[in-house]
Amino acid sequence: MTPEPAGSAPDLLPVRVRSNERLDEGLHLVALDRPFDFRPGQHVGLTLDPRAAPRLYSLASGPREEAMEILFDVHPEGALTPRLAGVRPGDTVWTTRPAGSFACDPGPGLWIAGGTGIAPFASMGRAGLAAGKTLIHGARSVAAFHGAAAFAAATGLVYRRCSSRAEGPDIERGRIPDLIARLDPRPDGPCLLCGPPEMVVAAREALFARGVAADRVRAEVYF
Amino acid sequence: MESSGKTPLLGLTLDGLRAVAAEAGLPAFGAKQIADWLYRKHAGDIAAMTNLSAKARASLAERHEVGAVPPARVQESSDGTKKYLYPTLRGRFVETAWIPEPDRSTLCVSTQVGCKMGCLFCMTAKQGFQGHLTAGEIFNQYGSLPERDRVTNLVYMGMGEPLDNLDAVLASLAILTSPWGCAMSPRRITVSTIGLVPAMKRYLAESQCHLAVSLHSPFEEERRRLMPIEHVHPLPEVMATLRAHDFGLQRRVSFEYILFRGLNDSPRHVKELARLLNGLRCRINLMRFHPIPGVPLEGSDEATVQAFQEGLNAKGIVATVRRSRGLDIAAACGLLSTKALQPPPPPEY
Repeated sequence: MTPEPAGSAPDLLPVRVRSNERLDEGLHLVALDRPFDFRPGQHVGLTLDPRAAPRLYSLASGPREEAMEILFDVHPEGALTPRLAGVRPGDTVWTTRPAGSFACDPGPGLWIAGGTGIAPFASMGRAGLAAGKTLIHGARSVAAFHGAAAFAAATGLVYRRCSSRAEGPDIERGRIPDLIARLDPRPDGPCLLCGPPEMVVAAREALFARGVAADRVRAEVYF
Repeated sequence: MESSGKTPLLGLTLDGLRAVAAEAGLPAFGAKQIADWLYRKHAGDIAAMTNLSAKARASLAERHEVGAVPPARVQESSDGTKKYLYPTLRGRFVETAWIPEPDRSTLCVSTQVGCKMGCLFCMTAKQGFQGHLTAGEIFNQYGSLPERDRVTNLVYMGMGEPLDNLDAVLASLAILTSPWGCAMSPRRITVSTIGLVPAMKRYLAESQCHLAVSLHSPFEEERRRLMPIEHVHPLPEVMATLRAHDFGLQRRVSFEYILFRGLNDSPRHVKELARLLNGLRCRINLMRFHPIPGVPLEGSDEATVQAFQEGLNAKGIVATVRRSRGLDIAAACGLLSTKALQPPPPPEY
């Protein structure tokens, strides 16, 4: 999720790496031991060096599962992700306690995710909060649609995925704002957005253009 | 801007210049001499650094260049404000606003190309994020400004979130305020933030410049709708950090508060702001909202702005209303953008 700017390191806990799965070129899912409870939509700060400032990532796993999962893109010039992509089972990673208020209520609503911005919605879905929601999921490749099978099978969830360059079963052509413009009926309930800033800003304005009031829109921006 | 392949000197602090000086075979005091040429005399070329030996200058010029870049374009407002367009090393552009007033003139500098923070009311947010500026690129907005010698105050309130680019911001502040640099008083410089708490703590510890915090609502849920950062660093955490810091008598913390019609401009907000800021030596800058396309927000009317200010003042909170400057050239607060000059984003989503 959000890289944390440098600063004094908060209290960090050592956790063990359970697995590291490469989902696509530059896209990884790392599973860690879960030393605390968290709420779907929350994030943790991670670092491989307890003296270095942690970077923030949304948790992608369900709150009752044994492992906590981190979905991340590798930024070749980044301080952490190139090294995080190389961790092995049994390695130690340092984590902050969970924080954040990007939360979702049961009932109708719209979720919009770009790329690794799917992480909080994956957690919410695994917590049983998907029923009544519509999820719009954009990604750059078929393999980058993390959790697509589970979302497609989730009871009560309308799952629509789109990409401007990936082709595959049920992948609609175009960007997320294009899909928002085509939504029928107009979105109902709270609208939660998560992903890169360009996507969030464009999707937010597409919602406004559909007449969605600003007080129904909440965004989590990856920075 | 085309790159020469040489490393710019502009933006290096004294430590960095010491390494450069040693590499060029200069004595230890050579670093201060180079700093003097870069940051006091504003030399445009290494050849102009005439108190360095010819051999040292030649050695320096093999690997380095000054790196000063003049603005590519200027627009002038009817109120005298000027908006400069500066190229960056990676072929991007940022905007810088120079705001002259009778008794002072303020330079508003950018720290990033675009911004990642996604604030609902900000034009820069609409262009997304294209990159961090280097310390040299931040400094250059001052160093290459035609009105440089008339600048009395600097504010880091242009494009980008300064504390999301903290290393470069701190280096630029060191250059501006150190005796070996421009020797400007840190009391003439204000750095703005939306409240990135860990970086704010480091900034408060490592710099003596003023701090301005974008507030815009005293209520968390309301602030979340305006500023996604509220999900990550909520207001109580920001306020606790500020209250824990000893600002002394000279250093100032202020709060930026844009007034939106029917959203954050009620007596209830005045009351909550007074509670939130109670006991904190600070002031609030009230700002008029400048509408941006595609965003369903409106600015408060003048009577409401005035009543809001009076309400805060009556509760002992020093509140001023910031005049909108450069509105006709989109140089006013929240309007800076170089989106039209950036290449299109990758078609990923």
